[in-house]
Amino acid sequence: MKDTVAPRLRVGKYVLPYALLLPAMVLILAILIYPIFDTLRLSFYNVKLTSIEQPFIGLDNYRAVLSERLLRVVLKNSFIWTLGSILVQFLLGFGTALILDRSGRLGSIIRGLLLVPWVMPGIVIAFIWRWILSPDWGVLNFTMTRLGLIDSYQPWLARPTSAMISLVIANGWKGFPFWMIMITAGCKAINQEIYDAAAVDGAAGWRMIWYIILPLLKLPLFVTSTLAFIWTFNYFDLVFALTRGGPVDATRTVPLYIYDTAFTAFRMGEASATSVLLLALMSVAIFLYIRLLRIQGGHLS
Amino acid sequence: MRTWRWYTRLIMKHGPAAIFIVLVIIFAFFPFYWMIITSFKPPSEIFRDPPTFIPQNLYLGGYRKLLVDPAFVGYMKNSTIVAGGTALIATFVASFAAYSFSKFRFPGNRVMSFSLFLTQLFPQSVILVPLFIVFQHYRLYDTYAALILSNLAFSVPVSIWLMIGFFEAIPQELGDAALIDGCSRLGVLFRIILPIARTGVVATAMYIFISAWSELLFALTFTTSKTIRTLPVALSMFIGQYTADWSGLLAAATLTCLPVAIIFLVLQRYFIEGMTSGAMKE
Repeated sequence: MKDTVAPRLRVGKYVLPYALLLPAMVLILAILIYPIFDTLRLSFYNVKLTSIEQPFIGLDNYRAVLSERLLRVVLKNSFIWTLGSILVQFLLGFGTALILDRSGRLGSIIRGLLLVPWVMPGIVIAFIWRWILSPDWGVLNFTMTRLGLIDSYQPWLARPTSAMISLVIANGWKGFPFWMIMITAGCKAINQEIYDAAAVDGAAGWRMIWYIILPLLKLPLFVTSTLAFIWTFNYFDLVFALTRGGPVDATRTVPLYIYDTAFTAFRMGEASATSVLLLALMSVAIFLYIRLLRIQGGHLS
Repeated sequence: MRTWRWYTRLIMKHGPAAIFIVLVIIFAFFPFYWMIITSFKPPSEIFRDPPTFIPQNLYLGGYRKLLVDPAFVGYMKNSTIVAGGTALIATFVASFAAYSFSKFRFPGNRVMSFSLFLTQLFPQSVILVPLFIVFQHYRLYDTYAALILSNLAFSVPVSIWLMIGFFEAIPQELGDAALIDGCSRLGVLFRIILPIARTGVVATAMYIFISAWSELLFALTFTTSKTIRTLPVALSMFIGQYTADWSGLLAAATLTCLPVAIIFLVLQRYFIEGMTSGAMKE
């Protein structure tokens, strides 16, 4: 970010940087920033696709959305899905990161391979899990009956509770590598001497993890949780493709609700109002994330 | 000789850690294994109880059917066009912006570049309705352009953010020397920065390709006709209707994740670098 050479042209120095940004900024403003503000505007209108007339209706969309009984269900589902996924991802990611941390070349190869689920398209993951969970030929049913855990084959995705648990496990499976990588990065910043000192003082095993490692990883863990919260809360593909929000709305999350309100029920104004509410909720998380980065910058680097 | 952290040694010695890792590896890879072997099983074997964990007969029917199906080949083509177009445009536009952010000092530099990263945190569903209306209005609905544009909304900021990292690793002196030798500032980008950072630029383009290749929500919302539909949308339509052709379905799923897996395994190092530094720095 330094510009040490004396500028040959003032234009080169003061105009060029902005000119270089122009194409990217035009695109971002047109297809990201403008639509966000347009959502806000649309949330105050009765948007009809069939007619040009779009009357201003003030807060009616918000009133309609907030009095919708389904909204509360959808919010509850979203929180269960997000927090459940995060818990599974944390446990798997934390465990693998700690064990593979500095365990040589083999460790880093395993770590690289374990990342594969994380990059896979959500739709492919949905296919795989549908097949594994299949009520008639699913390998999960087969294994569990053989192990004596269940008596008969279960329709996992057709029951409210087990459908949500299936989603959480599938998403935990997809997302844990991100936690693993972030925690590994956090571990790199910890000094070996701290462990040695703690070991001398008699810390070992779980006590070591609880009193030494977790406190030292506090900030990276908070940053990762915030990011994972935002991404998981808004993640559409996997839920849509695995359960479509069913059975009977038991796994319907906010993005699915917005999608269906807008493109199945064609209530675009209400979908916009819901989007605005979602954005407000996310802003809290984003604000927290920025705060955490500030703190982290001050302490670690 | 790498030093093992003492606790790693400790738990490794006691076994549970090793068992944990083995279980995680099985948990992580069994689903892929199951998808791939199922895609090679003939229908008679797929619906056998108990299931076969190693396919008894190699069956290529699932793949053969897909690869001669003009519809499926069409979806692959559409996905390639959309993902390729998004990756090309995003990388091109972003390389200018990243050059500006990483090598020039100007008011707003830090604020703007950090805001770019924050766009990643916006819900995709929030821009759905307005983009839908705009695309309908400009007759872009159900065209490649709509898909490429909507993918660019999030791809351009991410590309800029990733490339800033790669460009900043190049010493300022190289560019300065070229300026003294009479190279223009734009020439510095094309003759010095881009050639040196080419692996990073390719990795960025590939990252965008993968995410556009996998993208479902925009593709689902902004297309209706089969001639434009991308692979993820086509797959999501298959999954909706009840069907017994699991070898065909899982062959389609395998083919969809194949390019992603190949690209990822080749460029893994850059992915890891990009995701950790992106999330942890302001």
